Amino acid sequence: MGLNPGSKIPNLRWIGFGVLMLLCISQVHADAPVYGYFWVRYTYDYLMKPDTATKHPHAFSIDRGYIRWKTTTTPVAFSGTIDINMKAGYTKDSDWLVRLKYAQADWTLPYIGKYLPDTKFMIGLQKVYFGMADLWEYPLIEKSLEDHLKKINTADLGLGFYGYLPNGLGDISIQTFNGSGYSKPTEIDLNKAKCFNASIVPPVFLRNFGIMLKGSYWMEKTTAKYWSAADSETLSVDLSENRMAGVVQLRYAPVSLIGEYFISEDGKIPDNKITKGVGYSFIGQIDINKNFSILGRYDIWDKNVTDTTAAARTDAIYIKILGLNYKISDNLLIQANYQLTEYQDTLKVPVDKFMVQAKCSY
Amino acid sequence: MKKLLVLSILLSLGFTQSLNIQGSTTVLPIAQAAAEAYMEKHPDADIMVRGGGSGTGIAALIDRATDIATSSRPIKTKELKQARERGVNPVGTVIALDGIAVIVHPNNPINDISIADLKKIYTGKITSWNALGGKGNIVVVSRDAASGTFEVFNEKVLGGTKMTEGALMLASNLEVARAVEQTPGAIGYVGLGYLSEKVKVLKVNGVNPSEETVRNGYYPLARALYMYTNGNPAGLTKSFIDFILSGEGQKIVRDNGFVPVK
Repeated sequence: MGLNPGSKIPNLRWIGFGVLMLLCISQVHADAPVYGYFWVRYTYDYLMKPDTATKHPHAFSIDRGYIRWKTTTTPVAFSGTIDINMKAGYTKDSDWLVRLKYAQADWTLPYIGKYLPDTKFMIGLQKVYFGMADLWEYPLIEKSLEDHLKKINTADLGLGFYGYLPNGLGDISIQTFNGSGYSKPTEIDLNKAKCFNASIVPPVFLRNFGIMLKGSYWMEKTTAKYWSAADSETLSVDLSENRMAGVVQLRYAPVSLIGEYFISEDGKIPDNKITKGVGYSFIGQIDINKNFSILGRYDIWDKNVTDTTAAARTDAIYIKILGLNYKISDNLLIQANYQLTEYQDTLKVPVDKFMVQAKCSY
Repeated sequence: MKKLLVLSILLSLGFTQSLNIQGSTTVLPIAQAAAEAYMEKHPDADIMVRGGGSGTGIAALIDRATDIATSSRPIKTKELKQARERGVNPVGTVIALDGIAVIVHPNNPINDISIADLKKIYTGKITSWNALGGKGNIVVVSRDAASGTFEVFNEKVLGGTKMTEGALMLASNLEVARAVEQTPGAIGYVGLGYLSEKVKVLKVNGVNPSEETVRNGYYPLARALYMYTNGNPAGLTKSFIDFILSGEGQKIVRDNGFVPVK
């Protein structure tokens, strides 16, 4: 996240990749299983009100291919994930991406283990434990709301602490980040963004009924450079990016319900002008049997609630998704989703698409 | 005739009670033997027992894919959180005790070993038996990292320190016992139920692994074996666990080389 102010270390991800490979080689004799998954997706886009010139784009893609590697060594464990991605409608080499998503070392912290069991200190390109983006295991093909809006990174370069509350009553994490995310990690500055997360999981007081409450806060300050035509020079501006999320998850087998409330605040620090966006995401799932599930999701995103102009009053979007999941085996899941995006601005044409995806794990 | 056939099928389905058990390979022989004995006494019960490891069993309990998860270690905090999120309330019942016996090749002259020396061997600081009064190089044999036996050994002996990269990591107690039996200079560790005359059992900190020393807590590598259920056991699950805890069930525990809890 954040604007890229330019980089003197443009190939940091390749440096990270090199470090990962060295770790792999150094750990070659250790117990370090390789595992992962890949998603093969067919997408059929359909415009609700197509004009005659509009075709219905459809394409196959390998939307995600993860190769994961993790040592089981203690007290320091190393892990890495390589993300392979082929965009839908692959036409040029740049549509084929190979990126390093995670490359981290985890230290277990035995001294506070009795107060915060299974705690670890993390260094490297690591998971961001923010809101639904952390919890989302893709029961539907679409990303979580904040990830879909590109308001939060799912992985970033930084330092972090993660631990569980005693008796599994929840977890907490504190992380500091570069803020550029894993796709553009162009700077080594691990103190630009901070992320705090805590979840509470009360003991089961009603048989088969589970509750999880989670709160997340992301704060970032960054500097962006821009060309000022009036001044005929490059100027810089300080920006702030704050993200907040509250998540409630209820499960009463075979039904699962999740709700998220998400706030995004983007500001320019000198004039203190803040643009506040508010979003909601509701997800429901019914497991018909061990292999078959029906899912629904409804997202609302109002990207500017502070601006009172007519345009800003009608800038909300609504995303509705219906999904079916069928687990053929432990290693193969078939997903079918119908997704409709509508706009508060009635002049904008709603967009819908149909997607079928096979998730293969190994 | 058709109606009678359908009725008889429905009746037979209605009267057959099934129970799924999955998890620890250490607990597997107890669970299998107990299931056979229980089904012999209760022909209407259909009990399926599978291994896979303690972690696999607990994951299956969290997914409601098994009625009982067997485990050779206590449930982890992470697993407890995952379970509660799904409305699953894991309740553990100790069904047996076990000692992790340290074994060497029968020709090895060593009789006793300390936890400190064990740690040095398994972290690669001692690589020759000469340092401990024996002869030749040490061949380190271990359970793989996914097993509950490994986790208990890791906690009680290694204290979280990284195991030597030269260790031979094997998938079952039986494989460890065989490797030690066939390899001069080898050292390994197995559950008490896997001991035989083909390997030599070492005292640990001067204590022999036995039913008495495991039960009274003098043996330093002792552990409990668990059956985890979603909430307090009920119905067939309760009946089966009660059977294992009964005199007949605890005899099965002893016959398989483990230590009864009663």
